[in-house]
Amino acid sequence: MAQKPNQQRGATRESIKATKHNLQTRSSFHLGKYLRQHQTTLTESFMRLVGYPLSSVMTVMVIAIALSLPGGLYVLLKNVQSVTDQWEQQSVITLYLFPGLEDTQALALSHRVSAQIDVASVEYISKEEGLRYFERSSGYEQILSALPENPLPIVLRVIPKELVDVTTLSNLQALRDQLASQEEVEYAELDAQWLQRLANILSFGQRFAYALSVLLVVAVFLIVGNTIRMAVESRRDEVLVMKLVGATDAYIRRPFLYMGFWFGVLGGFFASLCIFSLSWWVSAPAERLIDLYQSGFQLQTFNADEIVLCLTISAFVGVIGAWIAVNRHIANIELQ
Amino acid sequence: MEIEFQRVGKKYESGQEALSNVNFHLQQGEMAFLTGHSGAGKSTLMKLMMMIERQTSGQILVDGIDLRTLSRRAIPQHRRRVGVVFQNHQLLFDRSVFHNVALPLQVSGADPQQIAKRVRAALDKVGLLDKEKYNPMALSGGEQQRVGIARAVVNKPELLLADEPTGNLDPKLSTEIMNLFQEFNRVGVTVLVASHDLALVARMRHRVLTLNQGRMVNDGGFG
Repeated sequence: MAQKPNQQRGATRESIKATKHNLQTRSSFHLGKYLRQHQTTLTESFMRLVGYPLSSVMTVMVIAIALSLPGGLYVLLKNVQSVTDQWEQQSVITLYLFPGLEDTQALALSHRVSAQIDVASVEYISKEEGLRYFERSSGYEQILSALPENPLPIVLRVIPKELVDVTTLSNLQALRDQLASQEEVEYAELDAQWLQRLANILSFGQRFAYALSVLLVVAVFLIVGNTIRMAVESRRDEVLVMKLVGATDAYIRRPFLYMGFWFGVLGGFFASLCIFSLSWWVSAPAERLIDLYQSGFQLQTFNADEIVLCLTISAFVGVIGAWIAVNRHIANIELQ
Repeated sequence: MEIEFQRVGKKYESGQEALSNVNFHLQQGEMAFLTGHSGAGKSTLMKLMMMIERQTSGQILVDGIDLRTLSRRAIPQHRRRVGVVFQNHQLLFDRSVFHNVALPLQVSGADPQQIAKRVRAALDKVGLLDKEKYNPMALSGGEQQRVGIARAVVNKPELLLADEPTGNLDPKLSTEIMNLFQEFNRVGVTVLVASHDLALVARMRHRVLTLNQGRMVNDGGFG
């Protein structure tokens, strides 16, 4: 207490210095400093992963496998789609006219339809022709001859100009509907059932792939979350000391978020690699199969855009997964 | 940093009353000791100053500002102004002495050159400049404690708190450490040292605060 006045003066000087120092280094926000901190954390968190190679590799591989499943499914669907897009077929719309219709009315309709610009040709099948054709092909001559009159309607076989494939199917369905609405037509049938089935199978496949992707992305969330939770737990002492010396929550969170980022990016990278190897592995038999159908089809894998998308999604999932885990667990680590 | 406790009480959720009606005023640049048997509330008092715990009654003024008015976000800023030294060192054994001491500076975002300069200055002050590359595990107890002190002062804190800093050390080392605190106090840092080593405290000839069962029973004198 005796030396106090002296001390007091020194203290005041020092405290003014300290306050200035506060203003200069603590309260102000420097973008450069902020970016440098981030860059340091980015490299440090990567080195930390490298420091625990076995567990890091295992986590990255689990993420890669989880991501390569939907990715592979996506590539498969993309290829199936491009194959089916090339399968075209001359389709036929068959118009069954009302039974009571006169030949002249039917012929008039036939001319009208064949004048439409989306129609290539119209084949006119009279009741008699129909009956002859039926007798030849069905083997029911006895029964047919026993009937008092010809039960068959006049039929028009309309050949559309457009070749049908998965993409033009809806155009032909529209043409069929338009022809069906003609008053002479009782029933119109588009002969493209197998294509319709294919389209349905494809959309089923797409939905299945979407659902699987969502599930596996959730799985990646959980994997990253759990790994980060263990990382936080193993660095408990460090978190405590950092809190003690005045680290903000954001500062403590940052290395773990970058860890999640690296898990995501590396997982996405190896998933892309998996898909490439898989495509390469199946390419030989796939090309032989395609050769049999003599199509000009080329096997596709991930293109550059899709790789970037895959990495972006996986990085994003990694960071978000880490964020959730870190927020939960850092709050639990309190000084006492 | 100036500290004032006004009728401060701390009751834990378990019902245990760690502090009751504690009053004292620590001037800017003052040095004082805090004594009392274990469980008297010394650590609790320090935790309140660090905002590790919050008091349940009364108010704590730091440079005239009521700590209760500080938001959660302001706590890190407050802690950067306070250096702490613990008996159980709280050093991290996954990094060198240098990086242990650098931690408070890294946390506040100082640039690397500044960090290196200040860490070396702090290590020089505690006489461990030649050990900066060592792992703290390889150091003796006294050296580890000095690393802890270097870490506490590297950020030029305005208040230095030490909780039983000489707990495991022999008398000679204890005196050395106390002398270190005195040196920091001489350049204007407010210092509060909790210790139950009454003989040592008496030798240092500073103000002594004594706690007994959560109450301040003595303030002043030399112990």
